[in-house]
Amino acid sequence: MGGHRRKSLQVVIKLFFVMLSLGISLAAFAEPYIPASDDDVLETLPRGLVADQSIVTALRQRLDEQPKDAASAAILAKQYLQLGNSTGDPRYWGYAQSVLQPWWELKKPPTNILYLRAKLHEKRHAYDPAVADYQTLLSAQPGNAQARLDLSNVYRVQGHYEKAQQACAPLANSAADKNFQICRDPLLALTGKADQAYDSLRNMLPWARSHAPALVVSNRILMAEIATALGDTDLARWDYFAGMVLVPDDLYLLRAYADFMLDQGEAEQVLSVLKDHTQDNGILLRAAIAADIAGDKRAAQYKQELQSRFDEIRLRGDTPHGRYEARFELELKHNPEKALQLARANWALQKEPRDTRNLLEAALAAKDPDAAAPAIEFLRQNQTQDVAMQRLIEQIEAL
Amino acid sequence: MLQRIIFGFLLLVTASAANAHKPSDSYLTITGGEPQLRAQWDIALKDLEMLVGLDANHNGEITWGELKSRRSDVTQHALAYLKISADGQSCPASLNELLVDQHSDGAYAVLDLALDCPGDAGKLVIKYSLLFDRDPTHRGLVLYRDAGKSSTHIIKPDDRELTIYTNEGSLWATLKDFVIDGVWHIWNGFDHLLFLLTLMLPAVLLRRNGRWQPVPRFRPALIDIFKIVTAFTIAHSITLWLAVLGFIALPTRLVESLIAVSILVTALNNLRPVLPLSLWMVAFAFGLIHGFGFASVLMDLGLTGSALAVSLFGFNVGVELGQMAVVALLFPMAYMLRDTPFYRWVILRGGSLVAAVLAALWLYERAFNHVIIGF
Repeated sequence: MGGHRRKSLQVVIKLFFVMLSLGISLAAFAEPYIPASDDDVLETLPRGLVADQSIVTALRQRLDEQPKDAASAAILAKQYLQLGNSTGDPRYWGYAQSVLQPWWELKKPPTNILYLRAKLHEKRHAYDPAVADYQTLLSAQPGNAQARLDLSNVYRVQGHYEKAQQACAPLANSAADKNFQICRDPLLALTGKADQAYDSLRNMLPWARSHAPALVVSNRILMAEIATALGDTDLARWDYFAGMVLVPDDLYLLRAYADFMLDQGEAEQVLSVLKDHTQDNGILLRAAIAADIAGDKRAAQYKQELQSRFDEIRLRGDTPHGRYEARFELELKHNPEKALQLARANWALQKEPRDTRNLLEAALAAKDPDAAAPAIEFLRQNQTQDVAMQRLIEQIEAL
Repeated sequence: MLQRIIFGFLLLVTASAANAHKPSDSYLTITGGEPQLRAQWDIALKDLEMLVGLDANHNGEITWGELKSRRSDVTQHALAYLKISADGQSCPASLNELLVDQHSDGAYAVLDLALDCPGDAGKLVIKYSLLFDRDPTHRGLVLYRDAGKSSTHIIKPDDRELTIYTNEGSLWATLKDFVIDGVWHIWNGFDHLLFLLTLMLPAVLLRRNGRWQPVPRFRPALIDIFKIVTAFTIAHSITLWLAVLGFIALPTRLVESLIAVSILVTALNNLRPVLPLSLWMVAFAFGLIHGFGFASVLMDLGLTGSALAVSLFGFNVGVELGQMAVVALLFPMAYMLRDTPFYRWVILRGGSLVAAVLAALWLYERAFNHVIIGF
């Protein structure tokens, strides 16, 4: 009897530990296999890496001999930084950081190194160190328009619109005053002058088409977001179409467009647009939400996949992006309290419209108007125009 | 200039958008509980491309054939950055098989490794430095597992050595370990043993009219000693739990000094009984102090939750078993010798005197932080 009981207790305890560890490790530790054929393609390398392979190899060799060769390091780090941007694979930012390692802790590295270090901080959402580096860089090179633009951008993401504006200001007098517009328009859009921002971005298009084609898509996305915020969904749809025609696989465009369609109740279309891009966590999140709403059979699979990606991030000791995890908890797991906690923590770090909206939605679902108060105050103070968030505020105030 | 601005603007747009995957990780699974240790090491093909180069024909695609042809280079490179040892003995690794697996951020080469070490090793030390000089954000994620349990660990560039106690995690193994620790603490913790012995010395005698007389029968004497040991146990259990759970904290030096005082007082009381207390009361009162001494052993381990409860319980049981062993060994001898002048003079008085001197020296050492005898 006693032995029997002890044995079953032992089984229960073992099961507990197995379940505890399996829960976090199953996703990361799956079943390996031997591919059927030598010709099986296991991995496709990023285009940029293949095209510039000889340059990368040469720079690597050079740096292995002379790790402190700042010029070579800057070129290689920039190469990796761009690879990280184009693929969305942060390992390349890690490679870039290792190239910059000799300067990583220095107060005043050479300016080209300093710029790249700031960018890498920014990628990791380490906004304060990024701001510090941009400031150091600008105090050495006040005329560096690129650094100004980036500094303004970080301030804007943090919700410091006045500082963002001040960072742009010196550009107004420069010869290329497109720089000033590029810097200023996203701020106008958030501070009560959305119409003016839209017109400015649209007027820039002809110039952009001939001089800077890449800018066209970025402008279209911003224009669509502004039109959506102003409640002009037809105009927004047109801008998204125009962007999709140009670059159908831009991840930023796809995420924004998916959110737009979700708001319009077009979950099925969201699924068909996103289905080939779910390797990106932000896309996967929208696909999972859309599948859930549409009652699609992929819903459970998407949700599980997203959960295991969050687990993988935790497994390595990091924290998943609060903007994504808050929506995951609210819209997929229907856990308003947890979502609110995540949305609040994220909003303390960054205050882009999506972050603010996440906080409002979670506060509404959790019936916690106090939690939404700082976000409402923030929107009012900046006179931000956004019909969706305005509706949320009204609902919260009616609680 | 224009080119730079465009680059900048593209970054501007994607700045907060890029959070697609996770940074680089490798997954090292170590399996114990079999005759030999085994390891499975998953390394991303993208990382291996950077480390050793896999895309032989430079077409941007890594095929199974290309990976297979670099099999020995991959293995050699990887193993140069991984050293595993078990119970102090290093475990040379050799490749059983090369496989492939998919993780959320792409395809991984899977090195199925045999480790030349016994599978039941209690302590594994893993020294890992793969990719750290190429990617400071890289992490080595280690999963240890055997028959009934598993644990996960992270290796980072600033802490490249991981120690795994393979028995940790199983409550039964933890319990067993701490029972043994408890027993050893009684045998090795010389001051606890000395206190117990000093307390036991007069237990086979009775004090009548200022003279020691042998107890008439074995049974009552045994019951007396049982009462003493139990009182000591209950008392030190109380303070042990209070201290380990963090309700009371006393400075180590004070506790150690008071333990010395407890021995000194007990020994002097044997020589000239003045305490108006029976022995079990003395045992209880001083047991409270000894509990704090036991606690210091456990508190250093930083245990929490169920592991803490189990280790406390196990340690307590171990201490009791250790004490019982001492009693079982010495009490019959003391009982047989109780009616001899040798026992009264040499064992009781002489022993108490030695204990008193030792305790006095300890007290001086501990209270004034000055080493004389170095126990």
